[in-house]
Amino acid sequence: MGVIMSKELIVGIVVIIIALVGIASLAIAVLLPPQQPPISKYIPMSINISISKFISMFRGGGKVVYNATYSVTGPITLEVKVLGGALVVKESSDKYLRVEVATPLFTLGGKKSYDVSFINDTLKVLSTGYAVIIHVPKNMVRGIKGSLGSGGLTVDISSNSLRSVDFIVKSGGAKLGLSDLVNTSIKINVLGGGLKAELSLLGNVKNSVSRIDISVSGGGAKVEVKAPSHKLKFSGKCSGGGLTLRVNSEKIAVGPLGSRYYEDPNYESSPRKLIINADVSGGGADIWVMR
Amino acid sequence: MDLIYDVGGVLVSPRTTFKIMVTEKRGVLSAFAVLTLFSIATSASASAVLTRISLGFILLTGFTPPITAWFIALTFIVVIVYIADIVLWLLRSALTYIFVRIFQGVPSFNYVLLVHGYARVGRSAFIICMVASTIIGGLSWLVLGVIGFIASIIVELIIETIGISETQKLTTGRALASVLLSLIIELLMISAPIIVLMTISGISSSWV
Repeated sequence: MGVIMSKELIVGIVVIIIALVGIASLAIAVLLPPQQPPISKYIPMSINISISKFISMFRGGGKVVYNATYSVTGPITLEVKVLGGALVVKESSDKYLRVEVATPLFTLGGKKSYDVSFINDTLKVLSTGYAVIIHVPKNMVRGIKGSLGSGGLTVDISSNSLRSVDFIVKSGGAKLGLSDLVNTSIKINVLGGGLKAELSLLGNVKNSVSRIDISVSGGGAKVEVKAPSHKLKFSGKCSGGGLTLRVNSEKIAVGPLGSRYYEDPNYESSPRKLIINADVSGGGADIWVMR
Repeated sequence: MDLIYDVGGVLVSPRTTFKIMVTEKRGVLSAFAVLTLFSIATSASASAVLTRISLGFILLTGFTPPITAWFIALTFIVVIVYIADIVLWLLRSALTYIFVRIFQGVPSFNYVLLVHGYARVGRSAFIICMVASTIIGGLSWLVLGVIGFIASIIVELIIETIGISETQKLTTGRALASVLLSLIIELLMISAPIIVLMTISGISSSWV
C-alpha cells in the first residue's frame, strides 16, 4: 500500500530534517577546523594593526619595567608562578638567560606585582598582572615547575637535559611546547582552565624512559606527544568528564566512566619507553601519541 | 506519521491542521515531542555558530581547547536552554489560557499547550539561518541571525494566533490579542528580576 505524499507530509519531512541538521551542526562546528576571525576582511587595517599590537604587547611588548641577563654555566631550573597577565618561556639564540618584565597594554585593574630571583641555578619568577618573557639557552633547562592561577602561560623550548616538568593549571590558558625530550618526567595537573601540550621525544637515542602523568579535575587538557621509535604503556582512569587516547590513527576512549590499560607489543624489551598515566575526574583530556 | 503531517500542516495549512488535531483529540505528548526537537535544534544550531566564532578568537591566543571539553560545555548549554524552554512553554500557555478566559473563549489548557508546542516549528527559519552561517562563517551570523530570528517570531505568532483561534473558539483578533499579551507579560516577567537588580545596583552605587 503506497503512502500519498500530501504537501503537509512533504513539508513535515523537510522541517524535521532541518531540525536534525540543526542538532548535527553542533558536531560539525566542533569538528570543522576553527576559523580565524575575519579581522582583515571586515575591520579597517588600522584597527587590525591595533589588535595585533594589543596581543603582542600583552605578551610582553609594553613598557619594560625589569630587564636582567644572567650568564649560565650549567643546567638550570625554572620555577614560574603566574597569577594574572602573561608569561612566556622561549628559547634564546645565545647562551644567556634573560628575563624581561613589561606592563601589559591593557589591564582590568587589580594588584600587579612581580618577583624575579636567580639563585643556585634556579630562576624563580612570580608574576601577577605583568607580561613576562624568559629567554633560555637551548638544552640548558633541567627542570620546570609551573603554576598558573589565571592569565596565560606559554613554554616553548627544546632541551635534551630536561628531566622534570611539573605543571599546575588552576585557571586561564597554558601552552606547553617541549621538544628533544629524553628521560623526562612530566606531571600535569589541570584543576580548571585549559592546557595544550605539544611534546616531542627524541627518537635517535639508545635508551630513554619518559613518563607523563596527567590529572584533570576540571577544565580541559589536550596533549600531543611525538614519540618516534618509542613503545607506549598507557593507564587511564576516568570518573567524570571524558578521556580519550589516540595512538596514531587508532582512537581509544576511556570514558566518561571507566579505566583502560594499553601496552604496545614488545614494550618491556624496548630500549625507548613512554609511560602515560591519566586520571580524569572532571572536565576532559585528549591525549594523542604519534609515532 | 500523524506527527510529521501535523508538523508540516501547521506551516502549510494551520487552520485545517488544528481542526484535525481537535477532531482527533491529539494529546499534549506530541506537542512536547515537537517542542523537544525544535528547542534542542535551535540551541544546538546557535551554539554551533558560537563555537565557530569563539574557537576562532581563542586561536588568536595560540590556545585550542580540547574537543571533549567543548562537547561537554555545549551539551550543558543545550540542556539548560531546553529546561528553560519547557518552563517558558508552561508559563506562556498559562498566561494565554488566562487571556482566553478573559476574552470569553472556550478555554482548554491542553489545547493551549498543544498550540504553543507546535508553534515551535516556526523556529525552523532560525535553524536554517544558523546552519547556513556555521558553514559560510565570517560575520554572516549577524545578518542571518537577525533575519532568522524575526522570521521565526512572525511564523510562531501566526501559528499561535490561528491555533488559539481554532482550538479556543475565539475570533482571530481576540486570539492575536491573547497571544501578544501573553508574550509581552512573559517577557516582562523574565526581564523584571534583571531590571530590579540593575536598579538596586544603580541605587547602591550612587550612595557610594
